[in-house]
Amino acid sequence: MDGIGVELDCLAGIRVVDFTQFEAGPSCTEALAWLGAEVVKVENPKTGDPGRRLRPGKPDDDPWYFHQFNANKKSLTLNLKSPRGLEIVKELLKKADVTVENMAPGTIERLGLGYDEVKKINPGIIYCQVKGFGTGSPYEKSLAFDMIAQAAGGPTSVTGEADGPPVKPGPSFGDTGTGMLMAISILGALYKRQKTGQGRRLQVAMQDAMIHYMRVPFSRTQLTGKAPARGGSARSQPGGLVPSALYPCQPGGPNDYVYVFCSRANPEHWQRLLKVIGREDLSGDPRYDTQDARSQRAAEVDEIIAAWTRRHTKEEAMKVIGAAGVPAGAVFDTVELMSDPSLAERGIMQWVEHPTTGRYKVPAWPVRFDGTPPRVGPSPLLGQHSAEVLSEWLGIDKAELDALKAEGIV
Amino acid sequence: MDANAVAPNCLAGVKILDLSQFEAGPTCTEALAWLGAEVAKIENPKGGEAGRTGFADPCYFMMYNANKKSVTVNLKSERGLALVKDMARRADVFVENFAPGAIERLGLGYDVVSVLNPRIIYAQVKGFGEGSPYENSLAFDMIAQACGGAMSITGERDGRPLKPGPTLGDTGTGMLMALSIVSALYQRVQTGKGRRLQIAMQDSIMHYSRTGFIYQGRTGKAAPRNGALPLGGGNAPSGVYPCRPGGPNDYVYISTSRANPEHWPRLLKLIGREDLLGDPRYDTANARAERAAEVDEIVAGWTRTRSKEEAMRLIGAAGVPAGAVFDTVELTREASFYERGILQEMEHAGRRMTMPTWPVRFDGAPPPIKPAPLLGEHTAEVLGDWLSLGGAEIEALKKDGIV
Repeated sequence: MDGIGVELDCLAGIRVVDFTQFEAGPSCTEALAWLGAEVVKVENPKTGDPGRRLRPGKPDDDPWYFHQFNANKKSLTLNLKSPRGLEIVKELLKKADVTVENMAPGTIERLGLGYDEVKKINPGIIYCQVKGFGTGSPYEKSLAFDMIAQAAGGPTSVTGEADGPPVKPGPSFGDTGTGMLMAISILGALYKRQKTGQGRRLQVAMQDAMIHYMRVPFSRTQLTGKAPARGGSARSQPGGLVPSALYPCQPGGPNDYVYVFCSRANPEHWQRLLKVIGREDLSGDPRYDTQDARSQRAAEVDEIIAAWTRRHTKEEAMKVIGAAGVPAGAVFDTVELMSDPSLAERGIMQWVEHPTTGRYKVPAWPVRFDGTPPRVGPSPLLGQHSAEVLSEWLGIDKAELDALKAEGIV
Repeated sequence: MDANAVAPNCLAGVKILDLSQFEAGPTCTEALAWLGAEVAKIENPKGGEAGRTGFADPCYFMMYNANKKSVTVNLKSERGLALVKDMARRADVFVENFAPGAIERLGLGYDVVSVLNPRIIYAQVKGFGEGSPYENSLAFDMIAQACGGAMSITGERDGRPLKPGPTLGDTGTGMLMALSIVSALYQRVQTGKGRRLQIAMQDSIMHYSRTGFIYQGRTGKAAPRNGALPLGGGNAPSGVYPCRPGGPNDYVYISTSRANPEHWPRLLKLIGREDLLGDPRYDTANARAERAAEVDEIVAGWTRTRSKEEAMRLIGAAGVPAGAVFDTVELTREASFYERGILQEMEHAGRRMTMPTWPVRFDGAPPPIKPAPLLGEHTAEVLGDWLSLGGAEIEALKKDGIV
């Protein structure tokens, strides 16, 4: 581990029993771990979280995915289908502050760990469920993954080229975006519990969570009564905000673009932009001087800007336009971000040392606490912390543990 | 307010001094308001926050400022600044997302506020992080989505980068800050100490784009764009399939998983193509990957004769992940969202409006929405409650143009 990043202890002493898998649940419990909670991931002794692998039944062969969403957690293997395994997990739940699950609809109840059961054994627990669709939704029983949530919650409908088919936004916020809303709610419930001692039941659906991230399109719909058309990002929209588009840069690779935009709220942006691109001759020109005038001449305005951006790299364009006080952003790809020294210096990208994968770099929790983000640790090996957790939480000694292992329960 | 909604009341008694504007900051403080905090939004007496008018969209402000109180204060007057400092002494949390340097120029930087109130959680949202080469640059949602990698992984395979439609750069950032604020509040109960929290929108986008970094970890290459498919390629059949009647959003997303070999036979049975069960041309994920176009046509042959709602229902019921591409109008019309309290209706300044609420249910119900405040609606109330200013004093402040 590198020196950047501190162990945050905001949630020190909080115990989380984590039944989650893949991304929507694990991103939530990982955030809690970064904030200092003790997160114990309960995994099937044979194969663990399916997020550990690309193909079912095969060895762990997708460490990248698993590392990304399970850093700083502990792994405890437990066969929940054996009576003794179920008994042990109930003992753990008695000692837990929070439990989170995102299994397919009905599964946790079939395991005998539904809300009613768990609440009986621990009335102070915050019991959290992430599903694809809400209780009471017509699709309540359906399976969901990130792309299904992004389709059914609206994001895919507002992403794509004009006249093209809908496109899935690349970021997996159907998963991580849902996980974050649950994490905030868990913290709210924990805060309250300090006074009341009472547990709560929290539920979020991925489809519902998507709506939260697309309230700008919903706001437009309130005004117009129509679903917003997809417009791509290649050109400013006639009648819309002009300029606001991706402009091509040197040397013309697939991500060599810079996004430039002039805010409606600040008429200075256009004047500043003209100066940067050496077109002061157009300053005060009534064809372009106001937002309304420019919105009638979107294509011309785009060409005025592109004529300049085509002669610069995206980094140059972003630096120069940004420094002039006009919003500008290069389209950075993952390799460029991964190798950006300032992200590493600030601890936003961190190196992690893992016993089997070796050294790798990952994006960390991006909020700085008193100047430093939390330190990212490695994701756990399957069952790495079984002995530690069972001993610390339940006082199970080595002989008992060996017996449990021999029976395939741990 | 909605009968299906109950205030979760988690943060009752927590006072938030909110100097945020537009979306990245306001979504954060709105989430805190939904969880029960008292959020006092400080606004310029002349016109208020830029988001009230900046996008020529009155609904925009309502979306991001529900359940808050509005207090007008002229921060450029000495007396106004003194009032806000007094409020900072009594607040638990301070949130701002001005352009870089602006809050310090106003005389309300971290060094000043943390001295006034060592218990305060001082939270700042900026476009780029302190120490970034772009530290002093402005940012809005699309700039963050460009610089944080989201656009590089969104778009058709051989096409240009695209901005994802949802405003992840703003709301996504606000959510990460909200989570950090509540955890700092939680810890403060024991320590009594405040903290400084900072987030950059560029950094935040990377948090939501981690599947891109995973792709890079696997391949060593920059994560590509892949149209409707996941970055890793997707297991055939996967993607958007056309439905009746062929409108711009009449598609159903189907995603068969490599992890579950049952999805393909379930789908074949549903679409009446049992004749292909066990056919070696299509029977394994690898075989289908070789014939992805044929497989897509087999599925599309069925979806084209169905509406997306019907397709979603039938495919979902068969145990295969499927989601219709719903647009905002269709979602707004869906009755079950109102029954569940996820969409709520409210009235604001004579306008009736449908609003999505905080989508997490607490003990079965999400929080109720109260309309965004009118400009200065709560000035007298908050200055009275927080600072014990009387009616006469507030009148005098109004007359002087300070509140």
